[in-house]
Amino acid sequence: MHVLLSNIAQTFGLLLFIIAFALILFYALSPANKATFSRARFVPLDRDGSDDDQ
Amino acid sequence: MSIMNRHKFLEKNSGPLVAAILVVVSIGGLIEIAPLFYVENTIEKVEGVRPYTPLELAGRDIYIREGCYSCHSQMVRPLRDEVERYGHYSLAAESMYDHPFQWGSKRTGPDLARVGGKYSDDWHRQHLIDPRSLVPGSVMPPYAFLDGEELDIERIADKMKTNRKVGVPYTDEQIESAAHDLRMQAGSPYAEDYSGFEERWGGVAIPDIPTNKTITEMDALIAYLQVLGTMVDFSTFEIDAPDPDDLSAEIQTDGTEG
Amino acid sequence: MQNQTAPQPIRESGDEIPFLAFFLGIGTLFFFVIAAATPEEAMRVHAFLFLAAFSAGLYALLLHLQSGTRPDATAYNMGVVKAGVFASAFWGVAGFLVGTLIAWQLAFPETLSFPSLPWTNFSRLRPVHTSAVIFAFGGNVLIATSFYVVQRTTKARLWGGTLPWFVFWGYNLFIVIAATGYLMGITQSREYAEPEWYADLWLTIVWVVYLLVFLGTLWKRKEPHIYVANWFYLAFIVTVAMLHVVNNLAVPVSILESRSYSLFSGVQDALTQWWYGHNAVGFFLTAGFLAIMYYFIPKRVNRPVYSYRLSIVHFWSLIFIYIWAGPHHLHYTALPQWAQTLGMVFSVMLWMPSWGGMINGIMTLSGAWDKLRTDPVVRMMIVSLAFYGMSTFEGPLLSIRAVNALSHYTEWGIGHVHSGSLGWVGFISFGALYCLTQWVWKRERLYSLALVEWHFWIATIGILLYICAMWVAGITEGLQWRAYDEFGFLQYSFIETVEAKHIPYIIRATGGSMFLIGALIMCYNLYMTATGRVRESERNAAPAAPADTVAVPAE
Repeated sequence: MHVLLSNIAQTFGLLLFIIAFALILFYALSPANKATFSRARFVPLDRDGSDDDQ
Repeated sequence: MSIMNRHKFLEKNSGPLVAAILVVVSIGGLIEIAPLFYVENTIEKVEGVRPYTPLELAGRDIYIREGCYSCHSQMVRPLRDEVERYGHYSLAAESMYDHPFQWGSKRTGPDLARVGGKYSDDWHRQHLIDPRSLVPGSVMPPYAFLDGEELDIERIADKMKTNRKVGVPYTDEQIESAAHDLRMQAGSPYAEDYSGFEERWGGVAIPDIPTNKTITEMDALIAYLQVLGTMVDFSTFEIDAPDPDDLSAEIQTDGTEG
Repeated sequence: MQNQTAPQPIRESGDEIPFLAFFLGIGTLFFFVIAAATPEEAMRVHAFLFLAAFSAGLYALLLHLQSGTRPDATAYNMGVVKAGVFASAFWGVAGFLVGTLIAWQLAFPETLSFPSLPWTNFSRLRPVHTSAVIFAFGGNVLIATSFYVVQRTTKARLWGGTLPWFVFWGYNLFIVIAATGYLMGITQSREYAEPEWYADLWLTIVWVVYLLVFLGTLWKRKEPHIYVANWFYLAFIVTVAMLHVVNNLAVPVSILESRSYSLFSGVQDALTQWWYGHNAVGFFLTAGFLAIMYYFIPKRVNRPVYSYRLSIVHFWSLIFIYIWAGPHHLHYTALPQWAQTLGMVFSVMLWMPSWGGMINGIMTLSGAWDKLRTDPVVRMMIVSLAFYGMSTFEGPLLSIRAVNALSHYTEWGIGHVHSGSLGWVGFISFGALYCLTQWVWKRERLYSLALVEWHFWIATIGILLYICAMWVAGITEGLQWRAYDEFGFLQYSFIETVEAKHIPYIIRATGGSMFLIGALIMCYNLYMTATGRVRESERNAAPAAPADTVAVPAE
């Protein structure tokens, strides 16, 4: 059992890693998301109307 | 395009975002750690490794309470200098009853995995009371107070029971006679069932001459230090480590390649 | 709801108050029973501490109800952030002080050992130091900044009414229980997870409420996009919960006793512990503080983050890779070698996302590099990224088996940890505290930028002394341990390698003391800023960064 699981870790694990990384890159670089991201960058800098307590 | 939308979904929905984070951080842990829990089944039983006696376990609790792991490791690596300095490299089986493990991460003081039997009990006592009286350059703090603290013997049976719950194979007899056996190993004249002790803890040495003194935390700690690394008889092993990688492969008990 | 002028502001419901009161009431009774029944002195002290805290909580809740006022549900809850700033400064100084003390103890063990006071021993104080700086200082900084950032970036008040206060006080109670426990000898002796089972259970409760407050705020947000800093906070909260629960699985001897035995033993326990230990670094000391970077640096320099896309790649790759890296703490041990190798490979890969994040943070300044000169707070945060870059280069290097054979168990590890913790975590936290104090107390400027300069330089020199001393000490002892004389015998006895570190120990303790002095200067500066004062000689200078900034147009 240990041998089987450790083999999975060494093969499937690395494969999964590569696929996940490709997906992340795809998400991040796709032109469809450009608008969202360029808007999101400014979220911290937005002036907002709410006030603090007290 | 659908994947694209799904990612926007993540950006805008905290629930799925949490789920995605959980999945991502679980994968590594699961794949890496899960196989370890099957090592036990294939582990080569190493002759001599036994659960700690009541006195040793009480001493181990003191070791843990004082935080000795801050400065002392208990893991000899299969490197030539370590094997020559400390003794045979540590086997996985040697810490199989350690809840928790005390391998440590820092050697401000020397490794203790094989300290058992290297010094006399008196040496340890004096060294713990005032480390610099024996080792002038030592940076170790003094533990003199341990010699004045009476050991709590009442609770040891319950502590062994708890250890049994997490997998240490203590027998009913060992637990029932815990307080007696602790006294016997500490050399108390009030423990007299010698043959029973021999039956329950065959091979564990007891003092030749009983001493009618209070059993202290110091006594327990020393008993623990003296058993460290002594359970396995390495006389048949070669104390030589020409190639670290070969040796670390040798201690793999799982049968996979090194 | 933005810019809405409501004559009748919506008040907070206070739905949670009965539940909280019930919980605190039951808890008070429970700890009363424990205090009366426990056979253990130290446990009784802790039961009384819990009892005191719970009844104080009840009393505070009662006062809150009696006053009859409900805060405006559209206003931000900044009171808890202010409390967090206080707590961070306090625990920071406390943790650095204990660290400095134990550093001097190693340099002058005879002078600084007190045989009749067991709690002053290095072995009991060391976890006080590590827990105080990581969990007390770092944790309070993370809670305070996360509560601030999540409100500002979602444009919503913290969810849960009084629950954020429960998180704040509950977390600090955990710290007090943990630290007093170590002094009295209550510890699991698992590195960075020393608190015993009941403290762990308490932290679990607090942490779940923390997650709920954070998520609740996200759920009622008015900004459609969840800003990336919140992703990092979320990963930090969720992952730390998972690590904490799994690593602390243990069976107590009884409910009245502090001692417990871990569920796992030996090899399994070692891997679980270092899976926890390394990811405490990854998710507590990295992900959480990267969230600070992604909010505070853009806000302070008034420019958006360099690349939002990079931040997404950074986020997912960092959390995915980090979780695998733990086994590099167990090279050459009895851990199966394939696991050691996986740990090493992922540790080396970790270098990439780490540097990606660093570049993203530093490049946020592009076009505004002059701020490095004019605003010492910005400089502090950017230098923290430089230290981050350095220690995330050193980390993968140390995780390579051959290097690790030399460096492991030596002072090099201590130096590595401190370049990350003093340089990266410390400086980014100080930067955030300077910003927060100015922002939540609504001050035009800090009391004194000159004092920030002093803090920056004293602390920077202190860190450099510290890490250089530890490099020298670590490499020296690593080489001495494996040195052979011409007859083929080990050349040095162990104690000779200890004696060789005396001078580096003194230099290290000096560096640590300087870092502490810098933090004290900061506390003075923060106090004066919070009380609304500006240093006489700096009145006429232009403020380095305006109190509240307006977005610049998109490029």
